[in-house]
Amino acid sequence: MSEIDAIRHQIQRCWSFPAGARNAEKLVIRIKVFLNTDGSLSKSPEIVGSYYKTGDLFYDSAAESARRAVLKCAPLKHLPVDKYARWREITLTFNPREMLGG
Amino acid sequence: MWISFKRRLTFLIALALVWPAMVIAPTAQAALEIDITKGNVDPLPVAIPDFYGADAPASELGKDIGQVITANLNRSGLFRSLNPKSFIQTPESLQARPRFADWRVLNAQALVSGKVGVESDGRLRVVFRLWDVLAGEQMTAFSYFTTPNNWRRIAHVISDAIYNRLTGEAGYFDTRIVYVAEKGPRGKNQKKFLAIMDQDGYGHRFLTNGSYLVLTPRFSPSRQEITYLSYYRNTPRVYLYNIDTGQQEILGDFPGMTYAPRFSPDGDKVIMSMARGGKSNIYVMDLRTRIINQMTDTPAIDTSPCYSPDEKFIVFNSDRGGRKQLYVMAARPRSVAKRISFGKGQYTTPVWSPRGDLIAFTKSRKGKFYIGVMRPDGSGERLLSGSFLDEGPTWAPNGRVLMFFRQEPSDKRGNGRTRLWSVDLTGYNKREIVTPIDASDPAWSPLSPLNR
Repeated sequence: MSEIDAIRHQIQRCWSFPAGARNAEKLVIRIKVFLNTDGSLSKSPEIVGSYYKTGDLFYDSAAESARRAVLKCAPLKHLPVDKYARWREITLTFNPREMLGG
Repeated sequence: MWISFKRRLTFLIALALVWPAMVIAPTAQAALEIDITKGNVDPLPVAIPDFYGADAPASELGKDIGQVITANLNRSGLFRSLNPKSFIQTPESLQARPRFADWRVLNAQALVSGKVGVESDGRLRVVFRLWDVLAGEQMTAFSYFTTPNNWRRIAHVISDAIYNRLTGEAGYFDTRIVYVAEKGPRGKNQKKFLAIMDQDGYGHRFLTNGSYLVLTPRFSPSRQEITYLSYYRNTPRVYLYNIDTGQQEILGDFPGMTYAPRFSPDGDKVIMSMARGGKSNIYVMDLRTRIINQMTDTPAIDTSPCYSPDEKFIVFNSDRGGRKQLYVMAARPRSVAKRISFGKGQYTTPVWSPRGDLIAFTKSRKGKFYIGVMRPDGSGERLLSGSFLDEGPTWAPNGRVLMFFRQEPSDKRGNGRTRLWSVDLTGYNKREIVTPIDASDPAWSPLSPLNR
């Protein structure tokens, strides 16, 4: 399993997303994550983009649910220390398309 | 010409400067990109301690408010309240600031804190805050003033605020349900009453005394008013009923039998069916001018009309094609209706979702009845429940939850349970709504105006 699969697997288990939400298939949330060598957070995860807190409550709540997924999952496990340079900074793109079943 | 060339040149130069940077970037200090395309739909763990009150009466009310909020959020299926016995921080010390570590160890993701006090003028003051436990941030805060006997509504309003802030969608807790209460074995002598209750079953009361038959009650979106069908000298007629005053009036003097009434989304019109000479068409009455417009004109039976939320379209069912199917037409008299349902079986009682994206319906096939939804163009049909008889869907005002009634088969004496059920749009979280006697034909109110 690559470090990408390891991270994806852990974050997906931590992300609680309310199914049936309106226009959820169009939702895209980007979160920047900064990690220490032991997989803990070196600083708070950042919601990327200028859309946050500009009046779209649905986007805000989804962005916060994604941020909570990162906070809940930390420290991330099973990451190869020799490849730390590769995963010290990650951008996660959240889109619940696989949960909606078309 | 020269200007345009110069511009293009500038653009090319700019592109040349940017391009190499873009190519080099990934090999340098680029962030690893990972797509997260699914999560879990487990209910969100929320801590809801009693609201703090400085004296015994306030503390008692604070406990009650906390319990109503807890019951609402749990019933939605989207949240799971944590056991208050596990809480480390007390409601009183929570007023200063949450100790987030104390809530993180309990796996709480959100925390509700609140305070109840009685003002010198006798009014109740309720303050509430919602916290993101993992981020250590306040998500929202409100304070409300009201009379003490209004505490339950405040609990519903707070529940809606929590639901709204955590899901991004409007709530549906400060709402009521009107339905037809049924007494006695099924058949001619069964009594039917109009009844109303809060969404959580409290405040139940009968609005009529059962001396005449009532059917298909529907809420006005803008006034404390219901439209329904009742019989006068064995002829079905459409009535309006004012919940506050108890006054009722017949809606117009029609030459035929009128039925299946429903308010338009602006509350200014009632759309209904009128039967005359073996055919049945759709009519709209403007409540201010009392002018009536005929919308469909067929020799078939067109019934159960419902407007789209923007009032541009009407959905209804018709047997014009042989079997009952759903049709959508522009909301103009005699415009062309397009069939949208094409599955096997018959489709009836279409109801447009308040958020516009779906139409709920009853479907019957091979002796079973189902509640389902489809998009307004007829695509994406999904069945959410099915039984011997499931019928008559109504939407919660946020378009996320449906209520309907389920009738079990009768025994030899005509007895059998008929009850209200709710189901989430996803098909999960099916629940029976507790009513004192048998119940059918529910209608969900809009979110209540705060001055009710």
